[in-house]
Amino acid sequence: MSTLLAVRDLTVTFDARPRVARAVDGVSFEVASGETLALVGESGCGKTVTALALLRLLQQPPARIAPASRILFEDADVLAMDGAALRRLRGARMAIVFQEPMTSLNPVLTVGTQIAETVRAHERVTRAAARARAADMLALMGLPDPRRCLRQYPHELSGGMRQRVLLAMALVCRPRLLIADEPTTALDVTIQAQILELLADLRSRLGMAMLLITHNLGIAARIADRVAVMYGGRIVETAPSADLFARPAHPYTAGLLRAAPRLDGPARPTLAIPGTVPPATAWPDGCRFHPRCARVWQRCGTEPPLLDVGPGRAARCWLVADPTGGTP
Amino acid sequence: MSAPLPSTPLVTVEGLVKRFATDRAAGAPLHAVNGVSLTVGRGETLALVGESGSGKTTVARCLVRLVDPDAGAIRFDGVDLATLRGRALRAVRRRIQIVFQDPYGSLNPRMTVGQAVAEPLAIHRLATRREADGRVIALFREVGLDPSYRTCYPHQLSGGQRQRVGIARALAPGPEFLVLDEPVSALDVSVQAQVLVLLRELQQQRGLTYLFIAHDLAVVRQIASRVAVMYLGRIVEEARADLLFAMPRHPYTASLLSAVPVPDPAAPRTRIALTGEPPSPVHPPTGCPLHPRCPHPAKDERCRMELPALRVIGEDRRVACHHAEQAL
Repeated sequence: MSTLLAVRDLTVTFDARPRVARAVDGVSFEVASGETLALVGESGCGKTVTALALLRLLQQPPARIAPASRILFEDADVLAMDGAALRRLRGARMAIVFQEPMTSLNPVLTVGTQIAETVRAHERVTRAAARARAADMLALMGLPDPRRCLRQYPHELSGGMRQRVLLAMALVCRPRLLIADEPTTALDVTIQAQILELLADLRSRLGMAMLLITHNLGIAARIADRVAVMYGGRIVETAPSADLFARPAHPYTAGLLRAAPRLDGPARPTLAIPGTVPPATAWPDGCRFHPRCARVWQRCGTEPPLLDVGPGRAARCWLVADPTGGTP
Repeated sequence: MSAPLPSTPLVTVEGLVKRFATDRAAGAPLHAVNGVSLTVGRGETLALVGESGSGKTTVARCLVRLVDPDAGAIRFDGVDLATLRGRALRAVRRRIQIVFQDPYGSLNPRMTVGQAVAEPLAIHRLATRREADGRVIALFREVGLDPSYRTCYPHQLSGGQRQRVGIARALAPGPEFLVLDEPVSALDVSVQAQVLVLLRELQQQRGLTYLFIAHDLAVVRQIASRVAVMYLGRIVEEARADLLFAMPRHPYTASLLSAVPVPDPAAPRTRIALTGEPPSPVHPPTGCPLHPRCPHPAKDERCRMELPALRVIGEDRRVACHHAEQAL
């Protein structure tokens, strides 16, 4: 598979006087055509800022993208694009859906107008043709009565229907990459299951790649091919989905899996990770997870690089180099 | 994980009904709670589970008399709450406390968190001003917060710390019964596990009784001794927790359980899918409220016509389904 998106050494800082918040700090990853990569982490780990940076949606200032950062999408340098190039990119080649669909939709325009507007922003088609495209897309999203939905306003729809509308709007120009930022977090669990099934179905039907941003390990396991776990503005582990959940290499990943309550298997109490996520203005020295890590040893005072764990796998932990580390 | 069988009920709810007027004065009222009966035994944790609009939070609010029910009775330790006024009501309120989902929304932003925890001591005249600080320090220690935090304002604390403050405030008047309304839903996974551990410890040490309101069944499995599942203002299944998770008998319970994504890509995906969206509680369907979405193979005309009663099925279980005896 060819590389669709390549992120190299992405660093995003925010001016938080008197300090500087390093929200995303030297993040590198790739997404291949047709692949689904999940970016997993807890609040404050930098996953959403990463997503926003990819589409240049961060307001600068207060955000600042470090000069050494590179975002290559279809071999084009996103960080060097001018306004016109960004307009051709956003919504056409790379699209995004957010957690709370109501705040992404214009409350005073009908659904049909909003989706058709996206089509006409990118393609020279008639109003009628754009509306027809919108209706087709709503049907593809599994809305029972697409023609009626075109005439409805966002407040007339349920949360699940709004998220389907938002997906229709994001996908109507057939982007190569969909960024989905916590797309089901605001939904009830039965509706969440419907939307996850829809996403899995869409990516195979439309052949698009997906970058899924989530805090929910179950959702990542459900639809991702590969997972990158973030902590403290860094990627701490990356692996094919099957390997990550079966044999986590980083103590943080293992800790998250033990902390997540689950319904499969016998009932067992979850094990908490002690402490809290540090603020982005004061990441700990050395390994950023070391103050909360049960397996901390001498080497953790120096931050490890991402170390090779196996085919397609890496973890930012000295235990990879020396699995017996710290234990006599 | 099953606790001892419910002994003497501490809380008894019978035929609880709560209607809310809808926008248009002439319109039909919304039946948020439509005939709910349940008991909570001393020292047990009853989880009340359901999706948005199921009525679970309204039941919680009736229990602490934040809203007054339209019909039905709530008895606490043998006393009908609706009959209480003034001093007698205040005396019972000391024994029943509530913890909200979002401690940021329930803590006064202009009070230090120490003042917030001391306030119920003053309201219930449980400590002089001089004694109060010592009590606050002890409460902070009990919920795992360093007492030095008591001079902080809510915005200076993390979400997990704020929820510990919310719990300390609820514990301050020395309650026997805690209504926990989605207490860990807003927290990150690693912190969620910490708060669940704390709630379990507090229950053991103080002999507390919990009504745990939640939408996340995996969390509920961590803490509940019994589970009641709500749909459109009614309880559709109630059972001992281990029995309910091992084998749900109501099709709605089964679909909820199967909709929760599991952090294991190799896990079998047999989803019992509900079709469509939850209907409006203003115009609930005739007969069984689930019938338009129900996946039960035995679904028939009776389901459309006749409301199923909540009846005893097997050991420690009540189910409101005409076909509860038949396999799903």
